[in-house]
Amino acid sequence: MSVGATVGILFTPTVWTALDDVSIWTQNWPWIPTLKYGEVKGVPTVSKMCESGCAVKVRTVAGEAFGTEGNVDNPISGGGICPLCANGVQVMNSPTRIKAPMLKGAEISWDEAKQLVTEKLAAAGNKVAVISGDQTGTINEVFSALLTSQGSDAFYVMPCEMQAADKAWSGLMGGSGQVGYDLENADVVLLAGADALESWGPTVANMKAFAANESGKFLFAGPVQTRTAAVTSKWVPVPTEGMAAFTLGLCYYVMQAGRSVPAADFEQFKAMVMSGYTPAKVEAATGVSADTMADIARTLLSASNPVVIPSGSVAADAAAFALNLLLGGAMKVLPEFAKAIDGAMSRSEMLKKDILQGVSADLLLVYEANPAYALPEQVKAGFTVAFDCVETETTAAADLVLPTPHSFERFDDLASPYGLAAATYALGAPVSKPTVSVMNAGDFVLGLAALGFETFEDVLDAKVAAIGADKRALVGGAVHVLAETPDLSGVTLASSVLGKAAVPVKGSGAVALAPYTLLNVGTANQATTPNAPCTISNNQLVGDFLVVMMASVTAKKLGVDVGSKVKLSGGSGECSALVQIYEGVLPGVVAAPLGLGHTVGDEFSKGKGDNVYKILTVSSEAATGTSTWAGSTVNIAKI
Amino acid sequence: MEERKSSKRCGGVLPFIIGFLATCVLGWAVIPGLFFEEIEQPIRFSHAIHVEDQGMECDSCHNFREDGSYAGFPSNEGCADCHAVEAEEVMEAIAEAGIDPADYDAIMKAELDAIEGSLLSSSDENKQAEREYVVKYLIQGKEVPWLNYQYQPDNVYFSHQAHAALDIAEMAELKNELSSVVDKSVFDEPAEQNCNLCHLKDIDKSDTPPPFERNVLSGYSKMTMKMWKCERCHALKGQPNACYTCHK
Amino acid sequence: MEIKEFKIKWGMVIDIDKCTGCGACMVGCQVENNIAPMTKKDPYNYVQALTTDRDDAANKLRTLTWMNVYEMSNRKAFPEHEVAYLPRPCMQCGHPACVPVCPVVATDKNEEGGIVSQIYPRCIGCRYCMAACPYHARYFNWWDPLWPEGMDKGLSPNASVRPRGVVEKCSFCHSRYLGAKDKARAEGNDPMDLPDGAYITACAEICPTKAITFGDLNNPEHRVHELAKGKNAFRLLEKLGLDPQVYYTSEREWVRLQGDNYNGDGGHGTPSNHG
Repeated sequence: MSVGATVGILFTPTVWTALDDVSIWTQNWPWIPTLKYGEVKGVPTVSKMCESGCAVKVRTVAGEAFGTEGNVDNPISGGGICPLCANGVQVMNSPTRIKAPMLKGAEISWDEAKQLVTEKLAAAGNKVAVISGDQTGTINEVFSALLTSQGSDAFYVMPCEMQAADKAWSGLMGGSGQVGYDLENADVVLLAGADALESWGPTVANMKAFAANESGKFLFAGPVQTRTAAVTSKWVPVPTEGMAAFTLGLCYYVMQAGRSVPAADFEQFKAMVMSGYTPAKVEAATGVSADTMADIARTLLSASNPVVIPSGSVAADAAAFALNLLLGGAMKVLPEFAKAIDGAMSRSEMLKKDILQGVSADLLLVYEANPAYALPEQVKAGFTVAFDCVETETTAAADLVLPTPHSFERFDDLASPYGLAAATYALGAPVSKPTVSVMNAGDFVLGLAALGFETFEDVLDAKVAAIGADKRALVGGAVHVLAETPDLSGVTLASSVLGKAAVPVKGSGAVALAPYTLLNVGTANQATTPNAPCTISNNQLVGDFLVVMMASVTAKKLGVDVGSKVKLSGGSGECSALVQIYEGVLPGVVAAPLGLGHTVGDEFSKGKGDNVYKILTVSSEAATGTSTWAGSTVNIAKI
Repeated sequence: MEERKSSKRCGGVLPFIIGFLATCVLGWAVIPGLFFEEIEQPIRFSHAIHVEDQGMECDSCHNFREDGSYAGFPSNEGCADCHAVEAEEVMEAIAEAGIDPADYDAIMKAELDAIEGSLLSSSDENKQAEREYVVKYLIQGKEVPWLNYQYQPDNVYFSHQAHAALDIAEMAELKNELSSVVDKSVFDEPAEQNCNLCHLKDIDKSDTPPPFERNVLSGYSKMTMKMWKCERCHALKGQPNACYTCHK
Repeated sequence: MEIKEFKIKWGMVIDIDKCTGCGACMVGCQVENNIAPMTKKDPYNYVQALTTDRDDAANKLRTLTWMNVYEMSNRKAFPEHEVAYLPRPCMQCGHPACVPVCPVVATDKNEEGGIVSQIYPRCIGCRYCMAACPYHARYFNWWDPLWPEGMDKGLSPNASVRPRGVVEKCSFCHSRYLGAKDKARAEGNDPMDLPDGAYITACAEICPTKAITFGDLNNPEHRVHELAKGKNAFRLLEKLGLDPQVYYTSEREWVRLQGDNYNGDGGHGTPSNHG
């Protein structure tokens, strides 16, 4: 009978459908996530994942954010995004989000936090300082207004190009407003150290301008053949500390050809350059041959709309501004947007203080910056309050940690990132609802002192009204642009200072250090994102080891080869790394990537590589009185 | 050993036939049913009330979006057009009445005015169904997790827009070739909606949604259309049967 | 075997002189296609914990980079050194090497548009296709996808999540093609005649320098049609005769020569027809 039953069952669908169902069961393991479906939208907003900030569209399905794309209609993005924003949603959903206010590691309520900070503020009086990692937002007006109401002017930004440029333009040259560069319409662009197509300034806007500028000729000068140099027509090897001299050397040729600037100290400037920055002297100081200099100068002189974009020290910036004024090309000066809060500092005022000289305060408020990682030695405070979205070295070391909403979860704005050709304002509304207990830093600070506003959204409304923009249009992804140009009549060429400041100064170590930033590896404030580690090449990281690059000539001199384990000592620390031979590095220079070596963070960034910020040396630019990392040197020993 | 005692040993042909027939009957009539478990929809949604009584059109809730995608299950946003309730008001009322906001049964039993005022049904049964929707989903801001009779796994991409132009009258001509895919009764009366080719006929007249029959092994619905059915119709209508036409 | 001809042929032209190697295309591709970040530890799998760790992104032999950016060098010493970056998606070959070797027909080139399909439930993970592909464009799921806690609530609806044991590859964001066809139908247009830009891959859309141009190589109204015929256009490993649908262009001759694995000691192969 059992035989009959067995044969019988085969004539029914039982066995066959059961097999089919089992095979389907093997395809649908319960631990594999399933997808959600619904209406797909692209919601425009502003992103602060990199220092400049960008305009993006967050893609949502059934209201849940899953990815990002660029905003084609917004001039800051033009449809593209960088690798950081491409992973923005994943950072927003990361388990390293700070879940609630934490006092020395223990969770407290927002009310308790507010009470505590109010007390600390009263006790600190005017010994309160702010470090802001956001270069472009109106949140800075809130923080600076708080400071001025306490009688303090200790507003600090993390070391950045915007600050160096401001010190050069308004500090040394008596200009007002912010310098910008019209990359899209320039016919010759000399990137004097500015890694504009990788990590300098508003990177995505730069790349969009580069793409649109089909006929423009781009030249890159710097110690390392960076990713920018992969697409420019020429790489001019120039050491970082020699960039100012290099630029003044170009001024020599340009003035020899008869160009001038109607500045009060023009004659002084000309005399200084013609005697101190002759081709021979520049060749001796920087290694760039007179022929190369003449060639570049010729290219700049024959262009109808050239622009020089500097990077690095204040002297290099000032020299480049002088060169731009002589050439009369695509350098722009942007007016500042009207303030929303009366007591707030202007952008120039915010950029005045030099963080590399050190910070000392009774109460320190750090907003979305990571000084404990990028400035290990210099920050000291009695009580530190860190505002941030994800766990960082700074939040781990802070006394009080206050979680902020992610860029896509809050109202935020963006005013003229340094480098844009026109004064541009963008505003973003929240796309997602936060799932952890966060408060907009602006709302928190407004609750500490009577600054005239209840919420940060009110401040933004006031800002929009003050600048005469349309909030609806802004929230929909448009920008507001100011066309005016500040008065350039009082501008000088800083001749008394520039001559001395442009002399290259190097540290005492054996090898020059050229640190570089790649967005996919991470910036000073934002570590590498979850999907990015597979994009990090073995020129930056091999396994968990930092990789430094040098030319074969340098390697031979140091007695190392590909894969050699070395120790780099400089600044206040040391890093261990593996050597990679890369012919795109100036001999005598070692190139090291910034952004690795995190000790706090998620599994994708923690414990990978080493922190090159540790070995940068801070030197004081003698003449300009500002601190700089240019001219950092290291000693390399084989391990 | 020439005598074969086989027939005596195995008892003959009869037990074989009995066994065979028994399993055939079981295998066709009983066992297939055991593969499925019935699960009720989270809310007893009555199409009859909304379509017949309220005179709503199918596409007030089931419609195409601008980008061509299909909004099959309406979201709370759509339902709130009529079943509007101030979530904050209700939460306050719950707190005032001293009920634990997580205890849905207690909230419903309390028959709070803030909720009762929004109920649009007349009969007690219908009121209870509405109350459940409001308390468990609408005020929580949660979408109702409707169970999809036509469930397809993630690797399948089905486009309603591509099938929107199918004329059911034309399809009726192929009803014999399609008999394994579509039940012939679909074409019987003046068939209006081509939706009936795949979806439950007369669902718009039902007062209680039929239970979702879930396959205990695979997790799919009993009505999940398998690949061969899609391929058959595609082949008959001259549409491509390339893998990527339907997969992702 | 003949090369399959389709009326529509989706392809790309990638301008190497515009690619800065930033990696946005790689990250965007992973987000669009639900590729999980590589996590070393699996807190849910106790058995896993007893054996080895999973692989993290440092092991480049295990990463799932459907779009992968390579660094090219002209191999000269300082200061003549030049560098270039080359993004490499699946070539969607006209005469694919991977299709004929699949024992279960999990991959095929049978859809109008010429995108080589990869059907995950059908794949048995034998990896013959990976061995066959000379572009290394196919990737195997050595591990189950594992997102960090909470990160998988926001997944893209455009690609199913693959379990371990199946091969996957770039699909030219095929769901977007289906979506574009739906949109065309909704607007009353012909879904088989999409205008330039109606269907664009995630990598082409995201690229900040617009180095990647995507479109129908057969349609004269699409930009790729002319760009692919440019005098500096070339394809990778032309001599293998696989007829890839991804073209590259560069004004630099050393880049073009390396595209066909030029050895520098004389002559690169000429395209040949296989059987």
